Amino acid sequence: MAPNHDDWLQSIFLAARQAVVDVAPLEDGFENRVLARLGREPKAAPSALRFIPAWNPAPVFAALCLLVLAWTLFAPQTNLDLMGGALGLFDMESLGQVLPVNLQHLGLLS
Amino acid sequence: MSRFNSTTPETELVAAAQNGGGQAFAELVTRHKRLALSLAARFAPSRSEIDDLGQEIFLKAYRELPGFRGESSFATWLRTVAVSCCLDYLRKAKRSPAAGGLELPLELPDTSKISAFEAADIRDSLNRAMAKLSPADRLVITLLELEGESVETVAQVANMSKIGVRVRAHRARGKLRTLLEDVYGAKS
Repeated sequence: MAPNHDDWLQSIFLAARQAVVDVAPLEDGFENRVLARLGREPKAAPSALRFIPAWNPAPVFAALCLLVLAWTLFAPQTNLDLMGGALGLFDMESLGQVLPVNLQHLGLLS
Repeated sequence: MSRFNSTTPETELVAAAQNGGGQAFAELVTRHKRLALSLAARFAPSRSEIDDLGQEIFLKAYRELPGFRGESSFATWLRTVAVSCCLDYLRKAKRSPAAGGLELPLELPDTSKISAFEAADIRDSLNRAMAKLSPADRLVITLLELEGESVETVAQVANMSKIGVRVRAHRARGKLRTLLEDVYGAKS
């Protein structure tokens, strides 16, 4: 690119840089307008509820997770050990002992 | 009466505002409103939009204030927030371009070799050409060429790499040259 091209563009930038908009007319009462808008802002959600928007993009997935959890906990063949395992209250060893019994109950294991 | 005034140290104001002190935040707005409004005036075309964008900058600053750890000055941090707000504004404006010219007068330095009329004309032509750039390109060229910031500062406040800033600036200058040559005639 020829140097005079850049000089020409730079002279335009220089002129525009000098032409600063006078914002003084906007400064009067600006703090009050900002504070008034802050007063209209909705209050932040409690921290325990902040995770909820994360489910917004995947409501079907969220509903499916709740259904699986409910089935795991309350299905007729579920006994206390399995329920405890699902909740993470018991160790996986006891869950391993109980799961085959449940599968047998469903006819999936001979 | 507020215990915060123009002599209150800025660190004290920031600490009070971080704890929800509205009066302290109002004093911070008073001290830095010119910075926010001047930057907003580089992008927004009308008086009401400059005012609105200026307010948005401080609303965002208030929301993000708890994350400010004082590693830089409040003004530097506010400039980063302002740049982010201006980029959001440009992206929205790209989808629904605002009409109308600037309603505020221009402030020219006493040493200026051009008249206010010429300056306004150049500014308008440049703004029309800049409106055809991508929001990020426009932001970079405005900060570099009109605000006189360094590549390092632009990279920091716009959250880009220094190479990214240089590439965008080079590309934007090329586009602007072509667009402005159409307005002013090709320069040999």
